Amino acid sequence: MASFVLVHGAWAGGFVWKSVRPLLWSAGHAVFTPTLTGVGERVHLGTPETNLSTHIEDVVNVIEYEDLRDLVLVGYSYGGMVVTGVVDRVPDRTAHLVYLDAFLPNDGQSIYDLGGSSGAPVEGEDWRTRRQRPPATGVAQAARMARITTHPRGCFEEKVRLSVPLEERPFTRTYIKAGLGMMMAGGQGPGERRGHFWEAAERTRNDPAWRYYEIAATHGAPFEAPLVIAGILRQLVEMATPLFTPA
Amino acid sequence: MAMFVLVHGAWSGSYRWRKIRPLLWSKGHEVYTPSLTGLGERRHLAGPHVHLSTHIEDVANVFFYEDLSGVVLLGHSYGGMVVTGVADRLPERIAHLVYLDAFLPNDGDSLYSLGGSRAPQTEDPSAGSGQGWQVPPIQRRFATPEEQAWNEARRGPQSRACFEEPVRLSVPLEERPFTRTYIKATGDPRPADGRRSGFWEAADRTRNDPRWRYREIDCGHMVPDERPAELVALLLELA
Repeated sequence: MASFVLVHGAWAGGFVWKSVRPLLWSAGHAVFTPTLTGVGERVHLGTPETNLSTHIEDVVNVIEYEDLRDLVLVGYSYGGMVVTGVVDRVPDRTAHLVYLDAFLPNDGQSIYDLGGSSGAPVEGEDWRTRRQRPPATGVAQAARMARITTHPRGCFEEKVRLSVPLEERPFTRTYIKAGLGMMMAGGQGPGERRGHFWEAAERTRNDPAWRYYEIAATHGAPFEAPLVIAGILRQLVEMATPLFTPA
Repeated sequence: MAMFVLVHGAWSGSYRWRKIRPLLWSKGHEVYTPSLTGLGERRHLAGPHVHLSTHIEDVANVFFYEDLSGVVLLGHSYGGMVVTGVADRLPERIAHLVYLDAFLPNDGDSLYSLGGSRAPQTEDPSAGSGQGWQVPPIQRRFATPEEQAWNEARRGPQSRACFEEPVRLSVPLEERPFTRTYIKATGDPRPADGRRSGFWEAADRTRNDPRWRYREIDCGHMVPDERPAELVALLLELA
């Protein structure tokens, strides 16, 4: 049995993993999908002080309070910023680090530095941002729209700190690119291989320190491709030799 | 397949359910164990502003964002205060309401008014230090020195406002369509010195009331740690 910690993206919540969780539970794994402070089911806890450090603390505390070891740590979209900060704090508890169509910052970079979407300021509450475009996918779109919350700006402004480059750590590294493009950030449409997530794909695809997968989904991958995502995550811990060969 | 939302007690956290979750997951059930704001893994969010209402919101939000219905909602200890507030807000989403050695308030009761958290009338050791907004944890006994140390490393103070704020019930629990169960841990004897025990009072209230199912587990208050398999079997029987 392995432990998975799955970290959602901006303006969202732990619910984005709703279709992925049971596929891991049923294989006997423990799954934790914390909602970050100030968004989703924790939207009532956001303040002007909420920033990336708050979210890193949210996740580090789950790992420490639950006493998780040999864990698989997954960051999706903005969650890539969070897991990068988390893994620098608890490198010895992490066996596998996975980015799912996610921001992959170097030391000293914020999501703004990487060209991430800033969101629109909420009138009268400049510390909160609103998502500017609806989710790309039509899958359960109404239910997803109803759950989009504001997101504290400080999370996007704060730079992440990496004391040691990811590639020098003993855990494995995986980048999963949603290959059907991304409809909402930077004006990209399907088929356009531009924007930060494709830059991260380029960085990791031919680097032997990384495993790289491209899956047939848009940026809404956890909703569109839960079986493929769960399959890739499971083989990290269940198989000595990957069943799906990285691209 | 059933849907469980399990709410921990005072000075505790989601980790209280670490022995329970895998037993339910492995049988195909969904389990949500939110940590209440300011406690456990959410300790970095603590402050005097955290009230019982905050905790009710914490749990009610899980229902909405995860789109849960037909839920078995269980509160352990102080969690009984929280689930009572949640059940009043979302009665249509709850199939079974379960109190596990928990406070069972009526409309307008607070944890302190039920005699909880021991002696709010005595002098607070942290008064005058600027930390008077928080209440230090009561000592609990665990089975082994290792478990004792593991748990003590995770227990921390809780905002006093959680214990002072009364819960509001617009309709008595007994008039709701969900089933109601009280589970008493009988290993903790009734206090002999005349002190109040909210848990024994709740047991006495529910034991012979046909609107309640009443069960006992022969262990101490930390049932999820002491008797995980027995508790899960009971939950599956009720669900």
